[in-house]
Amino acid sequence: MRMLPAVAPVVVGLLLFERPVHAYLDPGSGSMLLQVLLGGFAAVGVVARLYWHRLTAAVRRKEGPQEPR
Amino acid sequence: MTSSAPPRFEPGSFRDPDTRVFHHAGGVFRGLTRRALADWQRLAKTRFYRRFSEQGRLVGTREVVERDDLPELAPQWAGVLEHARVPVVSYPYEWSFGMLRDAALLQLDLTLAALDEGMTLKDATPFNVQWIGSRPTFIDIGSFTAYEPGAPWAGYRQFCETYLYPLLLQACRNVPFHPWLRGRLDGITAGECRSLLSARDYLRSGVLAHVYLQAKAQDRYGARDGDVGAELRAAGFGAALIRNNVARLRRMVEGLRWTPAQSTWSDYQRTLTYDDADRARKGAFVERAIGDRRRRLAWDIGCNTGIYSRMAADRADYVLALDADHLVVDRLYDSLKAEDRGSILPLVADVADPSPGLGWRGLERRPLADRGAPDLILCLALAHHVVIGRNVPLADFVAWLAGFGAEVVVEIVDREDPMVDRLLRNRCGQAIEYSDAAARELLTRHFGAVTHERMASGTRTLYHCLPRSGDAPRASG
Repeated sequence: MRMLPAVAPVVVGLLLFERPVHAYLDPGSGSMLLQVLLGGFAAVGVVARLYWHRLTAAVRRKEGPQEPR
Repeated sequence: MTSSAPPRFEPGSFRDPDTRVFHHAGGVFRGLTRRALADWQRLAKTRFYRRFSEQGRLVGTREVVERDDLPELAPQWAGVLEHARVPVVSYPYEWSFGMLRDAALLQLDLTLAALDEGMTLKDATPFNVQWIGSRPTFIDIGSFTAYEPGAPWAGYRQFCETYLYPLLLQACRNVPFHPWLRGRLDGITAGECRSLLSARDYLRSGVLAHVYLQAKAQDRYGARDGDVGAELRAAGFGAALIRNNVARLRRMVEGLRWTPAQSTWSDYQRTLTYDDADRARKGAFVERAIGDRRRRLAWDIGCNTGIYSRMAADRADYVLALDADHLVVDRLYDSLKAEDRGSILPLVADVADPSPGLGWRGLERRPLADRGAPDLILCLALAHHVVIGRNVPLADFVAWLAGFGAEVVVEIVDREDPMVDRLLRNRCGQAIEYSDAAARELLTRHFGAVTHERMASGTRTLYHCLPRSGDAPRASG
């Protein structure tokens, strides 16, 4: 239960490096995110990078020019 | 020149648009799009494909190069495979606990082996596993695809919903998974599984993560916009994480046990009401009835420990050992597995509540008789349970048996037998038409030739019934 907040930052709206993946089955967003936790020690770096991306994306949003609406 | 007959697509094969199964001239074929053809060509070169195929854990498959004898296919089908035919298709809601667990282990073993050679599986459903007797074999060759670096395991949630949660509920809470899987082909959700588990169950390794956290994560992120897969790739998600998860899941599944002390019929061979002489006489009658003639498919309904299923297997190409008692079937599966039997398939099946047509248009999953109609039926010490226990009129029961157009060996236990007496004890006041004389009259009316032998106990009679000359065995697809 305590591990859940560690997963929360994963969903940060980062839409970087989009690549098409041909999947007919919806793996479920929550289940995909959970797979990071279930990856064991190998997941530590992934979680760190997800935090980092979240941080840099937030900074970019703050400093960058506003998109015309 | 191709055959003029149109392809007969399998109604249950439509979910993956890149491959589709069709039947033709008694063979099982799979159409592949250009993308699926590339996946197949890659799969065919892997070491694990060869290894699992040699072990019989992957269905025998060959690429059809010469398509002259096949129906004309739409241009989207760039390639065609032919698969070895599974004797009788069965579904996870007909399997025992041990069967579902072994199918789950096969799914996980294939996932690990595929990852080692740069491939993965698109899904993780037990409908992709079939049985050659007690041996599981994976049939969905179209499920294998190249692993896209950074992608999560697409089948993880499906694995949990259709394999892990049913097994967990049976092992931890003794909740039968059959009604759940029959009630919804997509399985049990994490939220439903969480509702049924107790606090103590969370002490079991993996339950907290795969059930509780997954339910929470789905609640919180299920409806969220955005490409989560892309986020994970950007953060460096990869095959190593999937491998760790799958390896842990494998240990968890392997450790699951369902060990009830007994069920209604698990001790039948010890508690049955007739003596050794009658048991021998019954065996001899069944043996004579089976005779030397080769049968294609036999059903042993109410098989219990499978004594007569084994007897039938000596003369039949394949035997379905059917029993409504889950524990009985699970124990039979264990013994057949130990014998490495490839000709007897044990299934949990209740003739008074049989597997119906399910899924899209009710055709995705078919009734049992449509998947494997018998030419020999053994129905020993069962009629009184269906007629008295389930209120099926005796005439309906006999008409149902005769409707298969098969040869039938049926045992009628009279009202004076202690077993029948027990069934009738709480049914006072109800006029249930059930007697050996009535059964004999009906059998004689519905079948062509009927021979019988009364057991020394005086309360049991065995009948060997031949179908009327016009009644051919029902064809199965």
